[in-house]
Amino acid sequence: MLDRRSFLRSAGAAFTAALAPQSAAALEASDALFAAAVLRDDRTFGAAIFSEDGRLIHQIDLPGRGHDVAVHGQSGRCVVFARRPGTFAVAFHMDRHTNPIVLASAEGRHFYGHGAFSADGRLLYASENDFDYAQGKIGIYDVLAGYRRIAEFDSHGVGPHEIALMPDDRTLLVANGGIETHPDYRRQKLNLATMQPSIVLLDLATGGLKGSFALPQAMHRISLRHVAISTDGRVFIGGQSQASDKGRHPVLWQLSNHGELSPLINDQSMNARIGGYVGSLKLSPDQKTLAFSSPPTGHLITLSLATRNVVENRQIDTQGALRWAGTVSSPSLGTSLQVDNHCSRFESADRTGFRGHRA
Amino acid sequence: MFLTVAAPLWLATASTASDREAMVREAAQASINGYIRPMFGQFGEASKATSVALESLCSAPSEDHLNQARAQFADLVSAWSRIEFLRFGPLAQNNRFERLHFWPDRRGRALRQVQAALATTDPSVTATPSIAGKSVAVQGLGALEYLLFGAGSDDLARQESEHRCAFAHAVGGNVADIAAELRAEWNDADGFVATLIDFGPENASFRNAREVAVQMFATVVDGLAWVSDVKLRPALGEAKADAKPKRAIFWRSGQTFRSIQGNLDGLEAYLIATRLLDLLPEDQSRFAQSIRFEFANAKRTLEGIETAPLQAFAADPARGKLSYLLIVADSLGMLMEGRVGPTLGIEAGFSVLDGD
Repeated sequence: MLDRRSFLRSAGAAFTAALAPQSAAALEASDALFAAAVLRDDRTFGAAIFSEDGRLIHQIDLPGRGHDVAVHGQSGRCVVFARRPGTFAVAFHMDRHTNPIVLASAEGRHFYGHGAFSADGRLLYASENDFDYAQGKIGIYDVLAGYRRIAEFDSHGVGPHEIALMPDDRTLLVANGGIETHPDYRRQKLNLATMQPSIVLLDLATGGLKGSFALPQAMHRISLRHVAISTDGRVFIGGQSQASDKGRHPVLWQLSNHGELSPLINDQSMNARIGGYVGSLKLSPDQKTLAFSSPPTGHLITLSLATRNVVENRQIDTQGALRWAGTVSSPSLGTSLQVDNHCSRFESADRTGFRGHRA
Repeated sequence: MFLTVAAPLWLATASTASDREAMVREAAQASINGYIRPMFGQFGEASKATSVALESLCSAPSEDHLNQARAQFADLVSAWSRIEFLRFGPLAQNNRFERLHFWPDRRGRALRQVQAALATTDPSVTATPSIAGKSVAVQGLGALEYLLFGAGSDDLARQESEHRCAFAHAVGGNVADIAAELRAEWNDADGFVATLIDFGPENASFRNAREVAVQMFATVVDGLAWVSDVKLRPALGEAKADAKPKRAIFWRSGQTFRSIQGNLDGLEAYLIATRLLDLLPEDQSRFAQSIRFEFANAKRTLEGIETAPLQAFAADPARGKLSYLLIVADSLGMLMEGRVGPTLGIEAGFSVLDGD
């Protein structure tokens, strides 16, 4: 594990290199598509692609409940992961003609519900659990070889949850939630007294640890689970408190480019209002605001990153989904679909690229 | 588990918001007076009695004193299992739950640490103040069970087991100290009790009546899941050949079924004390009857098991009874979540189950 100074030496360059604004951020934000796991009225599960106005564009069946969808906009590839401790993932395509491929987790592993593509779309990374040894793993899949599992990295923590590519395209950020679970015990948490969540940066070329960051010991029960990364490399983290007094500690954090975790907002009444629980975070296309959901309390809050003030606070219903298109609302998909808390947005540029790719 | 509220008519029988608030406040107060305080009181008494028995054993080791200490441990398990599922407020603070019983311990950490402390005659485990500062795995009921019932425990009846006995005595004292804190905090009208009763927008834990009702409801649902997911299913395994009886709670002391019985009796009594079932509208009251019927089923099934835990999970007829008990516990959970919850307007939502 690296201390902060070593982190600056090894990862600082990546952060700095990423400071130039990415072209995608400047692109027109309208006409976006979204992908999410869904529950249908007949209690069957699926994954769907839908438009900003809630029009269903494509859907596939899932053998069980899905969670997050990893998308690679340029190629139109999507992979939806089973909700933890699920053992399947389904790769599908934005076009309706490519048959979905069902992936099974490796022996002794299960999925945690999140994944990410490499920048070129040739590799898929998945957060996984080596459950007998309670060690987090990042499974690596060769997309063009039918998503064959070719290797795995250590996540350097327990319970890796959301993972995301840093803007340098060479570093993977892992939110190790810290909670030990084992499929024999269903979803029960087995180590609350001793949990040690962390945010970890992995070198994608080697799997090497570039940095590992933890909260102060007094906050060790804040499971760090979800992340949003800006195009200039700022990392925002959403936690879920497992403490008895859930509203006591901040659950929204920022990893500065000096490698330091600091509360994004530390407002006791805000902490209490969201019940110490952040479900999903997304940045606006212009990178100026951050929206996060708190499903247990039904809140969907948008913060200005410049002022850290709340610019919008919506109480959504329990089936609300987090969409990001400037405004956010419960999906108007009619009565037939309920959408998971996580929702992936395709940039309009991605769609253009995807169309070009098909042609 | 997080539960959310599906409809504004979350307590169908109350007509106005202030009626609903009064009803929930009374229900919470009734559950504290009618169940929580007496049961934490019993746990406090059982832990003191265990300390006294350990004191006698260590000052005058004998077969009789060892038997008394072991019998006292069994009573302590009974008392613990009636509060084990009350994992909110005082029991959820300061790692008290895990300090009292670090279990399930899938990777055997507690056993390793306790054995290491015995092997090295570690002096820091023989006094209550120092053991309270050690790993959560060595200071509670799991450690005490191993010391009283594990390999070498019969030596406690003789002088030469001084270190082991002092270790057990220190753990007993630590359990009694935590039990006293729990009892005092639940008896204090200004502490967590006030937090629960005086819900409101300024209250960081319970901002409205709904959140208090959800806490009481979720305590029962989670307690049932604890019985199914942790106490029964892992030890049963999918088939007879996969049975792992050593995953059963308190198998060393043979108190597995007393522990499960205590949970089920306690959950039923707590549920009645919360009056949640009384809030069901007239036409839904059959669900309350089904719940009581299933609790009675579970009790009868457990009483019919006469085999020791290590054999019971692996061989019929006891295994069959335990498999049936698992079905009953699961169906109780489903009745609560699927029938009672929605009727009260409390529903486990698609997007909100904890931790995704």
